[in-house]
Amino acid sequence: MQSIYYELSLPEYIHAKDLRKFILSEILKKGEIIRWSIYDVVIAGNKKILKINALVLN
Amino acid sequence: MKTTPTILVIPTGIGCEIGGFAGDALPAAKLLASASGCLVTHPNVMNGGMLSEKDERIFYVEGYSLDRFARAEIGLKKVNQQKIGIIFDKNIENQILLRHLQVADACIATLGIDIASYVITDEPVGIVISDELSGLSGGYVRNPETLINAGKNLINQGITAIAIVTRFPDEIDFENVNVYREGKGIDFISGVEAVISHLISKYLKVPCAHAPALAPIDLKVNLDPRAAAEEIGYTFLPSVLIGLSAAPDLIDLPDMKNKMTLCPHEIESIVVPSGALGGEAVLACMERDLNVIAVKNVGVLNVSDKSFDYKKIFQVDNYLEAAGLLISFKEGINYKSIKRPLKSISNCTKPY
Repeated sequence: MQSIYYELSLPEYIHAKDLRKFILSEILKKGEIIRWSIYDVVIAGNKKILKINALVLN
Repeated sequence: MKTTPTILVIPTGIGCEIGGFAGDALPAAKLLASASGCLVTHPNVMNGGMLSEKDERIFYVEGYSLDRFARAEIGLKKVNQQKIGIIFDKNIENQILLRHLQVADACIATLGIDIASYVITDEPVGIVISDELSGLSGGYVRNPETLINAGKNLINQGITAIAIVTRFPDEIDFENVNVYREGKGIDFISGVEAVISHLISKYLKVPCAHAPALAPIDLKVNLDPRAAAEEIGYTFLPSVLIGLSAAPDLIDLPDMKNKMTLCPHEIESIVVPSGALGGEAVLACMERDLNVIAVKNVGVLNVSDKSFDYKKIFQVDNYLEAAGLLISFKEGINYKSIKRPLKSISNCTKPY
């Protein structure tokens, strides 16, 4: 079991409705997900960076 | 009877001023259940150590399964009573184990709950509490397999819901514990508790909830009332057993055999702390174009409506206001009609 931290730069075109699937498409590569959430969002100019914590089984 | 089925989420271990302690969001849950007529919520909201309550309008669903429900992967089927089994961590000392077994007997004798049997894990579960993400409760378990095997054993004996009791390490930071007990900090063990119950939900797909087994701690004078429900007994197991006794069955969708009590497609809103919009249940509800009622309920997170481009977020100041909003949804009253100033309708005719 491993706790991972991810920073995802959000594409400009992405809508909130597509956000969950976008995040999962990235963190599923790391293993079986037990728990995850966005714990911070950093907005710098036009860019949004999601900070994600996930606990995975690998 | 009119209802507006609603999900209530107050994430565990993020220090919310309502719901960050010992079942201290239960009154808010009852209010929202009354307003909506139908509420789905999770053990962190309902479990107050020694104290809890049943409410026919409330569906008690563990967090991982609640996320699946929000993603429309499962439906909920009410049952008259669950047949509960208990997993005990091999690390629990005999005296503490005996206290928990007496709780189970008391729940059978006094509350009429069906608790059929228990198992002790083959190996210690191995709880690791971690605060690597400063300010949030986190951690993991070293031996998830032993937990899952114990759960499989219970299910093979006909158990339909699982309570889990694991031994938490004595080498904890008592300064943090006392800050929590004074109502200032976060519940530092709740993050791992969520991991444990998520594991059982993910791999065994039955209703479940977790209670920590802890060594007794000294009496505290300046105790915050919100933490008091965890100080009035020897274990935290009663609320788990009360919650699980009437928890709904989890039905994988699509399903043609079972008559569902609540389908995910009936859900209209999710109520969540305004700084905690980054959880999977909330994002799944956004995906499904549902109302997100963001309640001012201060915690350590700040993932707010500013982070998302989503039009159906309703900001409210407290759970009383959230209840009013749900009543307006339920009764078909435009909530804007009750607010001032009241704007005239706009002209959206497109020029040819």
